[in-house]
Amino acid sequence: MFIDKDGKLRKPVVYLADFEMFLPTCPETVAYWKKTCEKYGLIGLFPGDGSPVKEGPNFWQRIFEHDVNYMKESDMCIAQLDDWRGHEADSGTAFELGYFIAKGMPAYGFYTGKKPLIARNIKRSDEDPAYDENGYLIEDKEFAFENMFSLVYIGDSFEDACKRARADFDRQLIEAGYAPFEITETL
Amino acid sequence: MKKIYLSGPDRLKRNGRELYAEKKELCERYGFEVLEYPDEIYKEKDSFENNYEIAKKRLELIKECDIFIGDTNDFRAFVEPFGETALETGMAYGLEKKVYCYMKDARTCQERYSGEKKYDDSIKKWTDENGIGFEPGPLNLMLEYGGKIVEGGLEDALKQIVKDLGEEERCL
Repeated sequence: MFIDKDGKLRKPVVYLADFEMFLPTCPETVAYWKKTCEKYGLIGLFPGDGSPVKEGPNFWQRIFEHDVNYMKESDMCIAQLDDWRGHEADSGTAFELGYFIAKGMPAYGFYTGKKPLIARNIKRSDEDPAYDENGYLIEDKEFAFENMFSLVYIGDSFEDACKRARADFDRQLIEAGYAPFEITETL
Repeated sequence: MKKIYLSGPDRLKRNGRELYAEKKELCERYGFEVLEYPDEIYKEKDSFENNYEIAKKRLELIKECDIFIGDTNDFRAFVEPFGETALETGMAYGLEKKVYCYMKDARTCQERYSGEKKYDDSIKKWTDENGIGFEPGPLNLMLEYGGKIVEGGLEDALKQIVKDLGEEERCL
């Protein structure tokens, strides 16, 4: 439960920003995410939910619009920020996370790799190991990502991000005189 | 004067300040104002709290700008740009700014991918060595359709912006 912008008490819809659709393990992972959302009183919305976008002219443009519409229908976002083809988060996922931050909506991430950023296995410059092989500084700022990602809480796991969201929503519920959400083991 | 926010990994270079100053001057030559990053961004080490304060200031700059320009060249990854720029591009799109991205090689991800790749007949698609398919365009589709991609450098993006603004004015 959370209090939406109209003051109504309901379960928030979580946009699942991720790169799972590219992976063969997608169905199992998304099923686990949705179950975990349920446990914490959230409703997981996966971009691949619902009727698939029909093939035809402007197919990719229409997929983009479909995903943006799902973001607009959601109340918050949890983003999968694990490394994607290198040492960066998937750019599409990062874009979606940025959208929620800019809209002032609750946004969370999770990252299962090494923290902070300087602990990652990024290939270093031989001359100065503070920099990578292409001469870009590997920031030493007590954080797993570059500067702008510090605007969101980034947990160690999907469940960790759900827990944090639940705690934030519960704080608002208590302040407004409601009981916090009761977490039940459904997994 | 239209205000520009410049996004990209240049600030992480040893000469980041100079590169930024050069880009700022270039934007000014085209008649734009560049919103400058808080100076603390260039500190090599910092606490999480300061980092967070800097990020908040930068988000305010994105809110203030009219035009967002991102450097989406590959960064520490095959066919993936600097993560912070991808994040900021999404912010600018969410704030309904004019969004431009530039990259020196704007061929499709599959064409640009320098790792091992193979054709998977079962899905009729090219994939990387892990069997993961490629996005159809030069970038993830959120970035591809969330703004306009210009092949080349910052100056090419500025020329495109000037052209687009001129056309907009003619339409008014």
